[in-house]
Amino acid sequence: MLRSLRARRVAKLPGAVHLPGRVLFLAEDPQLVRDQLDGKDLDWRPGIKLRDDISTDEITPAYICYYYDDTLGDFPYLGLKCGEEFPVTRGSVKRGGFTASVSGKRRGKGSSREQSPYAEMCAGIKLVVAENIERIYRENCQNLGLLTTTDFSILERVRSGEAIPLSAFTGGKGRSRGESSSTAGFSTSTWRGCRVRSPSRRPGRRRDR
Amino acid sequence: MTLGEKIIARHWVVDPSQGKVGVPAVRPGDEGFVVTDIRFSHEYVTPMAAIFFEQLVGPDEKVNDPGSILMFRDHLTFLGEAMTPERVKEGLLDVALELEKKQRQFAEKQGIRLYGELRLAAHGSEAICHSKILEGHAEPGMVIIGSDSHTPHAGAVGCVAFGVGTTAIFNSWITRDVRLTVPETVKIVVRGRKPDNVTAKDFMLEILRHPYVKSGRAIGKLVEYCGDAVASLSVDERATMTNMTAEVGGFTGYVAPDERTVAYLMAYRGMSRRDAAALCRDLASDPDAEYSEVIEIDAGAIRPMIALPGDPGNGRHIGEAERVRVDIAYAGSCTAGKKEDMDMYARVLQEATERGERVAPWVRFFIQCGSQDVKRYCEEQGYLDLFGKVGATFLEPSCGACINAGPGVSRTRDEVTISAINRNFPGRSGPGRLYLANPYTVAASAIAGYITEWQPGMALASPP
Repeated sequence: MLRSLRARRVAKLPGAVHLPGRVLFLAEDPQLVRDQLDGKDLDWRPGIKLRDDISTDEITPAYICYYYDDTLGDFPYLGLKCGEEFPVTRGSVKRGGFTASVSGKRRGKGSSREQSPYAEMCAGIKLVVAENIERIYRENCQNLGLLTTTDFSILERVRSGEAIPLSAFTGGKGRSRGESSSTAGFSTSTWRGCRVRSPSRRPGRRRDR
Repeated sequence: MTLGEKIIARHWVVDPSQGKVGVPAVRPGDEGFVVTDIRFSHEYVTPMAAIFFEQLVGPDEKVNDPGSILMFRDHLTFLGEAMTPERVKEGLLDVALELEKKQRQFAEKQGIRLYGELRLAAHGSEAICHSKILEGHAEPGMVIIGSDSHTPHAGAVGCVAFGVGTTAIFNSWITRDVRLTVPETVKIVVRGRKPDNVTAKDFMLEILRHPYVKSGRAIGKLVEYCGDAVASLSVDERATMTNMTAEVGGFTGYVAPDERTVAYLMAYRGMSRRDAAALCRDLASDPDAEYSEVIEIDAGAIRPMIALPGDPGNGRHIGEAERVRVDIAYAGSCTAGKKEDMDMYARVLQEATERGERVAPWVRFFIQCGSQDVKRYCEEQGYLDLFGKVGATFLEPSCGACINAGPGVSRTRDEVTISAINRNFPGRSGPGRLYLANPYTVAASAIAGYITEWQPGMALASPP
């Protein structure tokens, strides 16, 4: 089995990405979210409070995760609670033509369900921006080829339509990070791991003391 | 190195073509693969990973070392009893039933051990994945991955157990490896003597409201729980802490093995003292290990807590919150369906029944154990009779209401639940308002009909 996998070519992403599309700010104020879904871009400034602690239960509620194909693209954020309201309706994110999704602290907390970033990806989202991003959710994003960053200045570059080098999302390090992403819904980086399975540099440098 | 770093170093994949595993040391930031000892998944994830495998590797290819893979039918066993008629009509129940079937067929074809559904009269699961991994499989020093964020549960015996997504599980079936970046370690020291009505759940709700954790600075880190208040906890209670490392956002949580770990392995696995002690040997952090943060908690200052609806980080001492009437009390899940959790529910309920008290007439109280082993324990202890006598409904093992898929879920936005589960994100267990609390509080609140801080010997039922 491994022999056939070793012979397989692994595609790499190009060195830079264009991210055409709108930016969706997941704000605490439900009206601001609804306005964006209705086509009105938000002129975001730090004074506008973004939702913190968006769990994967809110991105894709448990009953949606019985699906695991691109049907999921109709559902991202269906459980998102803003104040006492749930501003996102079925299909509204996909229709909105968003390329980036932005929120506050602890994005993607909770369940390890890969359905969450997959639903976002199937709805057109290519980039997740948040103050910090939970570990499993971030890894799932990477494995699917959804870009993540905690650098809000990237949003200006998205809006201006310029080509953004992938290193902007990876900090330029990491042989197995986002540079080798796949659109096929699985991680070419881990595939590369199973082809090579030997770190290209010596890990576990000994400590001097 | 910290204990977590040591375990990762022992499992570091150096040269797979030579089968070379293990390096003398790792440090935070090192990237690579580690070889796993156990890989497990449940019916929410197995089917998607199985389809990846069949499509991208080959329909007749074999997974790598099926003997160290486990699968579980635990999340959706009771779904039919919880799904709303509208969703059934949309066809969602049929979609969900396919998940069970696909997992069962894949496990059978690959020769993978599946902890499945009960046969014969009873309805339920053999075990929740985390319950069974801890009771029957995890060993100190292992690396374990699971398709579930609460995989750190098994860290209670001093292993590195962490949750991963579908792609990582699928990939591990090919290689046995999993990719990681060595995390920094946070040390959480809980010192002092806790009050009798305070449990590991309260330790965690206290930790979850700590600014370091709430702001997300613990994300992706190894969390080492230590201090005399942790040392005095049983392995079951330690598992409540390591389990809720998921809510902390940590990579995993662990407690270094000690004499209690040895006793646990002897009791649960039938190991000799010598074998159990050998497994635990050298599994401790070095005195000069580096931590990115040390958080100190005084167990003596903690009071029974609740987390207000919406997030487990919304912790308050019960006394600080207003009086809340409850509709549902739920006592179960991986976090709160262990033997010691059952002891705690029973302790409150035994006292209540001696005073002639029963579950408040307006409350629906569900007790659900994590595994058949726990159920047998309840039978032996006479708990099942006791639970029935006070008016609680006992349920066979499953994740059930904790994943919005079983008896105990709320039906409307106004319903209030007091629950011993680990998280209360919006919609987690139905549309209602869910408060988290420790097992004593849940049982006491079921009797009182209001969220109640339990004290040994206190009368709970409101006078008629």
